[in-house]
This record gives sequence, structure tokens and C-alpha cells, in this order.
Amino acid sequence: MAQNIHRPVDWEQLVNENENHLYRAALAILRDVHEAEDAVQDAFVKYLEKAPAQLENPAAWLMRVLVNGCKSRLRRAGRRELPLLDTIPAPEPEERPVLNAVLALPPVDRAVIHLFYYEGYSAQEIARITGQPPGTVRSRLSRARGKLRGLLSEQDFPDRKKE
Amino acid sequence: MKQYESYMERQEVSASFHEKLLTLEPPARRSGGWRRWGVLAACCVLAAGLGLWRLSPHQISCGDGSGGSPVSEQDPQPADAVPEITYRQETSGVADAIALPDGSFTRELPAEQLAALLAWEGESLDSALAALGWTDYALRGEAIYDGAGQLWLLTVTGQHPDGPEFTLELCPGELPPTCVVTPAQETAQVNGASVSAWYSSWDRDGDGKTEHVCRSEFMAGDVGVRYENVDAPFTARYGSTDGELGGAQKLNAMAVGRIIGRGIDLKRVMTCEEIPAWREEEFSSLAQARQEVEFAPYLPAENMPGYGEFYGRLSWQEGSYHDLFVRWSRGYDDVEVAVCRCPEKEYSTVDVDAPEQYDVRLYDIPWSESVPEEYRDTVYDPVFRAEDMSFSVVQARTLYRNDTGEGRKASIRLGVLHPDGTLVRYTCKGLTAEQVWAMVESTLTNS
Repeated sequence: MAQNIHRPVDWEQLVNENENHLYRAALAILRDVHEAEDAVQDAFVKYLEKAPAQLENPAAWLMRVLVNGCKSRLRRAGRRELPLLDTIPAPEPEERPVLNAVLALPPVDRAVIHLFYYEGYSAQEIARITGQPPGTVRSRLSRARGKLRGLLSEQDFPDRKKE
Repeated sequence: MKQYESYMERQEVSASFHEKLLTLEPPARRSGGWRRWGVLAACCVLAAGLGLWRLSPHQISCGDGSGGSPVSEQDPQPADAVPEITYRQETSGVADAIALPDGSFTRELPAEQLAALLAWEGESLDSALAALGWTDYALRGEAIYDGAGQLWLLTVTGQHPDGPEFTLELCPGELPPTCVVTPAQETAQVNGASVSAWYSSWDRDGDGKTEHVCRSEFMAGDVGVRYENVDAPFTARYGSTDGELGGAQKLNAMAVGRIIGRGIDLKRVMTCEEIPAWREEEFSSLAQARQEVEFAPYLPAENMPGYGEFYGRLSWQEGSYHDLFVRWSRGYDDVEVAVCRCPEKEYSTVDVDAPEQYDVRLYDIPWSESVPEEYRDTVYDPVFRAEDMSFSVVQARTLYRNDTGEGRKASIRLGVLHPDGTLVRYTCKGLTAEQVWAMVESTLTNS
């Protein structure tokens, strides 16, 4: 089938290894379970349709497609800001302040913070994923940390050396 | 971030969704359609020129809004009860972007329409303004309608001659779109309506004086309301605060109480009959985009070699804009060409004999530290006259990235203004200077 030309032999492995990473990033950016699932599905569909044959890093490619897709979704949705935590699974009480603080950031800052702190990407890698200059990513990280420091304890943001 | 990590670790796709992913098939045909969201910073919406009108002097009970009125220190006692609202200190208000609907257009509100909006039946406008705490404010009103002529957002702004100002946003059916991301937390119940309210105090204009900003959001019946005021023309004790902050909070609460208590009627402004013609269309191929004959001379003749994913979009609104945008993507690299055919627009072009205005080779990264302030705009985003374009100009705009381990990759950004007023902006990642010049040069002969 011509449509399956981009489906790798280890499709199941690709899905298993990436689905939750993509889903969590989408959840952080979109703050909505259903939107996040749709975004993940779109990213995998795009993989089947568009992924280059010799892809060195499918995970990074998928993440980039996902982040772009999330940005498009936010634009299409008219940037309605839904009440925080109403459209995502409920956090434990002790998780709520941190989650609230991160999810209150603008979408692109949420993406940068999530990719850096949770996924462990470097600023350079995040720049490639989000299509921003590395300097912009670093300044977003710095700005977001500044905002979050006002809400969180210092131990929540240990200095990272991978920037 | 331990709590954030622990939360995220628990988030997994459902078993049914996992199965769905395993059996995914690419769609046989991608849907197209008329769809486009023009993205605009909300603050720019306001700054771009609100329709301005001012209540005539006889309509304003005190002063003419032309300046010079002393700030009243008297705590006003409006006829409407002022609700008790807890204003939480804002911690994360950050400007972001909002999107306008397809074909949206703006109309200034005639004075009589705005007066009818603010004053209720049988009430004088003076009385209404006093109840809202807006006496002496010069008012402006603007409505944004969608492409079908339905009201999307109505904005009323007020400027007091002594500095205080406010913005009232009204949206039918839902809260107005926001450009400020803030956790929504109910802080009060006012006549059965849930109100979220914040304040922040800082020297936001750098004049050495602290400004107090209060914002509230709520639904007044089926109208979404966001009201933000900066300072107030009076000081007051309100709840546990007093002085200037108390005045600002009280001014905010006065409007909240009045709007919820009496409701607000958007019927008179809900529709606009004079809808400018508009067109939004997406293209799935370059060939399709090139069917737009006015734009074809400025578009590449061929797809970008090696780039797979294509996206194209046309946006037109009578008298406002006429743009065509195409993009090719390959992994991390995009090539974008944006053609703007608005001959009446004026663009500043760089002097090709002054390389300090645009030559990226003269400046180290980060540009924020190396590019002089006066050249920031042109070094970041220069526009060249078509007759000044040459391969050496493209070379001067070529920024090399060595961070991929795949050899030197170029990033090139420039605009070309053609003699007929058409502006073509190129943003190219992954192409060589020679390839970009070939693309530009072909449009110079075509146009």
C-alpha cells in the first residue's frame, strides 16, 4: 500500500517509545486531554505521511511535529484560556501548586519548560524542536524560571548545566 | 519540579488510544478548506488604533476630559452596592497572542451606541458613568466582528486626564479571549455570578510611581466580561486595603457589581451589516498556490528540492490585506515565502551601501549584545529594494549554523520590495545562498 510507505518495520516500538512522551508534552502545552490525544495522533499520522526515509532521530522529529501541531491548535482555538486544571487529570494536592505555576505560563514557555526539565532536552535541542533560536530558548527558560521562582522553592529549580 | 515530574509520570495514553495508534493509517485525502486564524497580540489589537470617540462635554458631569481636573480624594459612594471581592495578587500575567477569526474586521462604536450600552433604560448617561466610577474618563469603543458580521469582541477603554485608565472587554457567550495567562480562580460570588479577580502593583511605566492594576473576569448573563483598570481617580478603603490600591480595587468592584447586578445588553451591536469582502484559502501544493495569478510571479516556480511538507495559504480582505504564504518543511528546516500585495502600504528599505544596516557577518551572536540599537530592526528583518538585490546581498544575509554536525547550514531572512509595491519576505533554513538568490532572482525578472 502506497500509504504505508513510511511505516517502519518497528512501528509498534516507535509508538511504544514515543506515545507517552508526546502525550505529556501535548498535555503541558494544550492543557486538555482530548486535544493532547488528537495532537499525538496527528504527529504519528504525519510521520506515516511525511517522515524522511533516513530519519536519524525519530523521537526528536515527532516531538517537533507535535509542538508545531500544538501551536497550530492553539491558534485555531483562538487562544481561549480555559480554567487551569479543569481539563487535565486531577493532580495530587501536593502537586497542584507546581503544576498550576507551570501551566499558567504562556504556551511556548510551557513547552520549553516541559522539554527542558521533564524531557531533558538541551536548549540547543529545544531550539530545533520549537523552531526558535537557541538564545531565545535560553531567555525563555530564564524568564520562566524567574516567574516560577516567585512561586516555588529554589529546590524545585536546581541549576542545570546542559544549557 | 519533583511534583511536576511525578504528575507527568502518571499521565499515559489510554489503552484504547494506544491500540488506535498501533493501527493508524494515513488519511487517503487531507481535508482542506477555508480556514485561517490571523494571529495578533491582544495588546496590539488595542494599540493598533481603537476607534475613538469622546463623550461630548455636556454628557460628562465633571470636566471635559481634556486634562487639569484634580484627582478626587473622595471615596465615592455609588448608588449600586459595591460587592466584596477578594483581589488575589497576580503572579504570572504574561502577554501572549490571541487569534482573530477569519475575515474579522473592526468598527468604531458610535457615541450613541456606546451610551446605550452603558446607561440602562430611563437612566442618564451621567448617572451611569458615576455609578461605574468613570466620570471624567474619555471613552473609546471598538467592536471586532467575525467574517459573518457577528460580534466577536467589544472593547471600551477609558482614559482619565490624571492618568488612571481602564479597559472593558465584552464577548457574547464566553469570556473574552485573553492575552494574559493567569490561573482562573473564583474569588467572589456576586449576585450568583462567579468572579475571578486579581491585582498587581508595580512601576509599569518607569515613572518612579507604583501603578495598581486590578482585573476581574466573569459572566454577566450570557456576556463574558473582562475589566481591567489601572489606578483610580480616588483613594478608598476597600476590604483590607486602602489608599491608592484600595481605590483601584473599589473602582473595579463598582463596575463588577453594576454590570452583574443590572446586566449588559449587546443586542444593538451584535451584528454589522457592512462586511468587507474577504477570502481565506489553504493550498496543498505549489501548483495550486500558483493558480493565484497575481502572486505567481513572486513565487518559486518549483518545489524546494529535498523539502517534503508543503503548506500554502491566501488571505485577503477588501482594503486591508492581500497575502499569500507558502512553506516547505524538511526535518528542522523550513523555507517560507510570504508575498504581500498591499501597494498602499509603505515599507522602510535599507540602504544597500550601508552594510552595517543588514550584513549579519558584521555582528556576533547574540545580536542583542552586538547590534546597535538603531540597526536592530534592519539587521533582524531588512527589506531591500528589488533593484538593489544581488547575490552579495543574499550572502550578507546568510547566517551559518554549525550545530548540527551535518556541515554548514544556512539561515537566510530578507524582504524584497518590488517596484509595484509587492513585498516578498523570505525565511529560509537549510538552503544555500546560491539557492536563495536563484529563487529571488527569478522573481526580479518575472515581476
